[in-house]
Amino acid sequence: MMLPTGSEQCQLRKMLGELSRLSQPDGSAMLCQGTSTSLAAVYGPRDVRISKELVDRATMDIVYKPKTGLPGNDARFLERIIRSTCENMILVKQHPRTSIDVIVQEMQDSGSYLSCCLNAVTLALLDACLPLKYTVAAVTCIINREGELHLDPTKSQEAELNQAHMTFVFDSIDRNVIACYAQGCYTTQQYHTCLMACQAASKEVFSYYREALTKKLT
Amino acid sequence: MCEVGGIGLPGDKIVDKETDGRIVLGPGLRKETEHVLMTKPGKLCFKDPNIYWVDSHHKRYIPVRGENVLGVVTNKSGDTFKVDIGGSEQASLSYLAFEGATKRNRPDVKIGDQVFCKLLVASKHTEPEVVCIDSSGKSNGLGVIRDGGMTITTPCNHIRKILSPDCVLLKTLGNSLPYEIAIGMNGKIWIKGRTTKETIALTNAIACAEYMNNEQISLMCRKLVNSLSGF
Repeated sequence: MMLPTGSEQCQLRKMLGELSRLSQPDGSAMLCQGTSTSLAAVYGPRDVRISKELVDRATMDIVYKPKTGLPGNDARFLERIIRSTCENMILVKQHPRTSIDVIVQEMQDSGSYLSCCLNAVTLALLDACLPLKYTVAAVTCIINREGELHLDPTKSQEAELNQAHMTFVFDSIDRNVIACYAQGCYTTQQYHTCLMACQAASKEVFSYYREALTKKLT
Repeated sequence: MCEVGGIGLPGDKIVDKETDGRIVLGPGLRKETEHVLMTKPGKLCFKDPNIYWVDSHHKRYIPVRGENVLGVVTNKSGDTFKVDIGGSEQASLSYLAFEGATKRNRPDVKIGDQVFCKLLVASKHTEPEVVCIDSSGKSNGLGVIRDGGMTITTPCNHIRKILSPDCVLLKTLGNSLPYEIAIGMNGKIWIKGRTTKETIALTNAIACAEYMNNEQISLMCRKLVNSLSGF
């Protein structure tokens, strides 16, 4: 297993974002990671339909809108990942019998799109000022055919014949893994190397959150 | 780690000043094992002797008991009205909770009316309840808002800023333009000047003061009064 050597391989693409991009939602954020761009909007806590009401916690409703066409199975899959991560992050017990709605609009998918969506949703939740346990940062990496590790791969790198494709989600308190989505074949050793590389890179995402929020609040 | 006066994010531990260890936690903070963590992004504030809270930027209102809010009557059913106060649920308003109202003498409230009311019950598990009287049965400025004026919606942190004793906005505006105002903690402000023109000018002044400090506000008010009087 080769460790990332070149500076390009072990760095995330440049992050750029804008908070409160939309006027109607309670919180919204647009995030670009390189050229991957997604727009997330958060409404809530707002009223919930009786059929969906939960007496001890808030109902999470996630909608993913692709750039074109109707949402298919991929969209459902993304929604599920985002929902489980959000439920972990938000203190849902503080707003029982309400609904928190998150809408993610695909703007441009050029690789590492799951992590871009998750980071945009986190920023939107921070903008909406919902009670959170911690913030989360998602980082994607691939192991290519030669066994090299690439962080934050582009669409063309993802389309190649790679050994594995992994996305890790970390919390901001202890940098523990709170979610992991992996595809392909890899050894335990390789998994750990990817985990360490992503964990180190997540620091950059967290410092970006802090920078963005400090700019907004001062 | 977040110190008093600094900007923190959810999950940051707060640094306790030299208190005797007994502290009061305000909004945006929670205790987990022996640490106190932030749950909302914002500025960490401290007030003597031992109160901590987070000053954050909200757009959605979360009802709090005792706060004055500006709502719109959306439904009339039996002996209660439903009032939209911008929270997650509509508040209920009894028809007896008006000054001088009795079983026989019902208040004249229609659907679509704007009411300035006080939250009597606000708990996360129950429906909020509002009233338009104080404990002695007097209206005390609360009630249905009629005859003109204009209502705007601003983020909740802007309301807190306007109402804070340090803010000069309302006083400076009032020095040259008399007006009537009802400020709801839910982000709604109703305002009425002497003429429509003045009402619009006042509304704009309040809406654009969100990101201004006191000096900028006084400058803006001066400019506004000058341009209104035709200079």
